[in-house]
Amino acid sequence: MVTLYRNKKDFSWKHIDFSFILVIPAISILLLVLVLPLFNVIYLSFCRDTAQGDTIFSGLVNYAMLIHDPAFLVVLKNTFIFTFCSVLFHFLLGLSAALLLNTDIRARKLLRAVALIPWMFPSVVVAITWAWMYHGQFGVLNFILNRLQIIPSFVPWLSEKRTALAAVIVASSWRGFPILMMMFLAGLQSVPKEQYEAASVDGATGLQQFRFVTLPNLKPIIAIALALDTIWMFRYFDLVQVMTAGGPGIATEVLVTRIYKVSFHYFKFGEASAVAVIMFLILLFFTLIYYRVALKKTR
Amino acid sequence: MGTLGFTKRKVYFALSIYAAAAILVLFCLLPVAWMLSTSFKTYSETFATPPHWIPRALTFEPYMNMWRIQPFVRYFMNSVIVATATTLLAVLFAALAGYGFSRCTFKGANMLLVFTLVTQMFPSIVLIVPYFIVMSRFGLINSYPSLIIAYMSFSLPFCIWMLKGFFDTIPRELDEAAMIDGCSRLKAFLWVIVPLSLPGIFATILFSFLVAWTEFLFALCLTMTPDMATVTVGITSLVGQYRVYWNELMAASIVASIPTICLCIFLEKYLIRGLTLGAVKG
Repeated sequence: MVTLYRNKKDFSWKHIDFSFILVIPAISILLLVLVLPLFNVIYLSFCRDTAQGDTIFSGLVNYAMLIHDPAFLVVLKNTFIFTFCSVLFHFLLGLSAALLLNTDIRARKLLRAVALIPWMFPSVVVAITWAWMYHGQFGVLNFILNRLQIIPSFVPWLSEKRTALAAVIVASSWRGFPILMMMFLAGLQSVPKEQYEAASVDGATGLQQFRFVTLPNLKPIIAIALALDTIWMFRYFDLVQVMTAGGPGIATEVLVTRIYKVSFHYFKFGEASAVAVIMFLILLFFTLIYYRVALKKTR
Repeated sequence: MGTLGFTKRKVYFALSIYAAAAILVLFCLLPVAWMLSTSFKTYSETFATPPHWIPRALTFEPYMNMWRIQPFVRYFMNSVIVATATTLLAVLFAALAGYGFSRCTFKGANMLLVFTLVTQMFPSIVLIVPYFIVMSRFGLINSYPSLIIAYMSFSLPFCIWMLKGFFDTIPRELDEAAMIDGCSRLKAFLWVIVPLSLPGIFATILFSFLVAWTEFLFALCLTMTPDMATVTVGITSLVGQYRVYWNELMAASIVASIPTICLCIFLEKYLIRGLTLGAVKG
């Protein structure tokens, strides 16, 4: 083949597009490591788990079981609470921080660097650090909150059913807000100065300027940031797994940790695959929304 | 009166802004300060009540001991090997594909491009069960290749998109000029386009390394023994134990974070682009 092309150099380019040849290796790898496993997991989700650890094709049993499993509903609920609250706090913290950094405050660069710090640590390190701060006996948070008389006695934040999910959400908010802050900051800096000048000439107050100049200009970025963050938080594994591993009980169990637990602790690959397919479908829905939003922006 | 009220309001505004900045700094730095503080304490001082923010008996011992108590040298080596191999492979294939997409003329290129973008949204957890089954069958579990293959699933798509973006900024006329001068297309790419987009390629390499270094899920599921564990798996294996050496754990956390912090500082310029292309996951 090679010699044939070498002899007739012009011929080969006309019939096989060079750029297509360049793309083939990468696309084949993606088909192998992404598309093939996806079909595999869909197939596995229709298989029953046997005691021997085998899987036998048996239709919708896994899905039927999941629907009637109250624990699965709790997991779904936890996932949505975790995602929604994380994204909400990222948004509020990120937007406030971005607005703050967009003023003519001193040492702005330094401040921005400091605000980026939470995001620079790997998720697992963030998880371990917060787990240590939440420690029921020696955790520094208990001391601080106790000193400020917010809590009367020490709380074992991560092993208490009522507080565990909130505690994980706080850690997730800390680690994730700088990303949205950076996106919002980039958006704020691209707002045309003339619009603010025009608004202040018309006598708009700071709040009105924010409402009628800043927000409308920022809207496309906010939409993209929220959509992306929702996807990220929905599939966020590291933090929950390291901080609580879904516990206590299933108080902080989210879809991702559920799939991990069912596969690698119970070795029920069929059931795990069914959960994975459900999760994939929900994420697909979010992804479609994201592209709707993203495409709208570019048009 | 009017001007007085105005300046007063200005002062209040400035004050509230600095107060907000102080809260922001406190919120961001408190956990980091606590991490640093713990890492310089002796084991007994980590359990002092009330806790000391500044260690009374400042010691570097946690940074020495961490290497002895756990095979951290091995963990770091594993992470470096896997992250480097993933990055090299991903960037190699992505550079070819990125250039192809950037100069594409074939039908269906757009569709393939959207396909690679959509894979960004793909949750890794969905792949875990098939990977585990197939890789056990081939005896690849608990090996470098298993992790490298798995990491390609998220590394390759964003490398393609990032590199395509950088190649797009180089005018097509340059390729054409090189080809008129007698270069083949491949040579034009290697000798003209690649040198011109080196900063972009470098940024992509760093991004890829960063994401592979911090990866946790695949590393947790596909490695079985401590001698194959990456840094992230190695550190977290200490958390659930009966007796947790928090000072050494914090020291190890800081050491493991140093590469990511350095990379993040280098990459700040490319951050937004990396974010929206999915190079950095939340």
